[in-house]
Amino acid sequence: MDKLGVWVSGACVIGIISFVWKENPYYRLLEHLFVGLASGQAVAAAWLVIKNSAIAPVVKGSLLPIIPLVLGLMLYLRYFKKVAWLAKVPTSLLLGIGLGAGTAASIASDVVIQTRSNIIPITDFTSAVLVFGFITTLSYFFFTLFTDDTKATAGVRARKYMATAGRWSMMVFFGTQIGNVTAGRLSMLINKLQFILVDFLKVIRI
Amino acid sequence: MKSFEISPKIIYGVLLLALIVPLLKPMGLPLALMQGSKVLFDEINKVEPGQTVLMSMDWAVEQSIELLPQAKIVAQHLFQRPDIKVVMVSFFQQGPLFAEQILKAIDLAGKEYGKDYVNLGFIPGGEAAMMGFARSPVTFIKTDFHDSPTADLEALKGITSAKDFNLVICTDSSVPGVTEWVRQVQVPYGVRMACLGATGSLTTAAPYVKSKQLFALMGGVRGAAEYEILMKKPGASAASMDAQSIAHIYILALIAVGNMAGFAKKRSGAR
Repeated sequence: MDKLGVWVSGACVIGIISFVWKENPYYRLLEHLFVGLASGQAVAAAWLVIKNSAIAPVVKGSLLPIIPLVLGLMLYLRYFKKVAWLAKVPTSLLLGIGLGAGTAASIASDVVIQTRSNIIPITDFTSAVLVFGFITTLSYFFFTLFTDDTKATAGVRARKYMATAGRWSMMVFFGTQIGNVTAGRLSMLINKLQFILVDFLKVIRI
Repeated sequence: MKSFEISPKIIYGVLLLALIVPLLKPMGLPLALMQGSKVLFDEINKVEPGQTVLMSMDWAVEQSIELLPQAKIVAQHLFQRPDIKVVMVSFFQQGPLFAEQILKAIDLAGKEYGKDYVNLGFIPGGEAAMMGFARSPVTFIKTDFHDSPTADLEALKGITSAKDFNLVICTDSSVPGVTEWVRQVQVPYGVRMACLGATGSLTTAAPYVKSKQLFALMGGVRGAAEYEILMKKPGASAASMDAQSIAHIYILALIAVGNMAGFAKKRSGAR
């Protein structure tokens, strides 16, 4: 069974990589297979969660899980025009709970602590770059004072230059993100090639 | 000027060669160890007998290539430490399956399920569920992945809230990830927290290291490779680093060639 799994996986990996040459029916078959399997797995997993966390306790006698079960079913009422408004109840609850859980905690962790950690003395090149990037990035989003470009005052000029510097700081950040994502994708390709060479073709051993 | 174009087939073909050749014939390129892996390695070595470590398995199949090797080698290190309890939890559906996969693959060093380690399974609900779990893990999750009552598990004795975990190692791939772990667990309960991240999410997690909300951050297959070297157990991740380095050099060369062609075209257009 393990060997069959390796052979099927190997055939699938080679089929997907064949897209590099040109799109072909085998690649398209695998693409559709992937979408179907992923969707099926998601539905099965979701059903298992509902069964274990709501239906099983209700069957055992607990009445409280009936509330989230009913609220979950109410979400589907949006497809029936006459009672579609009822779907707003569970949607609002979901949004409210999510916002409540996240917003209160994020003030401390994402705003206060992060801001405090960026107000640092400039002792070396790294701290200078950090402070420069922090201030200029924030100034890019300053849309109230010194925004009248028709007046070439010192404040307007300073805001413009700082906003431009902030834009460049953000571009450096986004470039880093793209670079990291590229590295991650390369890792995935290397992993699959390793699988082909080690497990499928058994050309090398690790 | 004649436009300079390289067929995508050639680009991808050379990339595949650049990846396959180092895998077939390793070059032994040096791999510098980053601060994150060294700090995490030292910190796990400092965990004392009797203490409990919480490890999250928060990733889906798509990110398993980057996170599974890291989680596996770190879990191996945790299990090698004597008398440490390991609690695995997941806020992603497929997480418990990866936890079971890791537990089957590593040397458990004689540790007993329920007494020394436990897989709490998947907790649905995202960040709200994380908040409830952190407030009271044992009352929030009634049964573990194998349907054993959590109140009876010795590995969870004395765990009344997240602050009772001596070390938390979270994984970051998507939502809920490191942002939610820091918000709901690290800041409210002041636990020592490290993060194993997918490469693409390192930039999101890095500010938390700067602000000391995380004490260590490891990323992607490289993080796993570094940890394998620190553990003196080089495996598939370490073996893939040559290919990674050569591929990066190739991408940089393509970017340079593309930019030179672009500038040349602009200049000839200006003339």
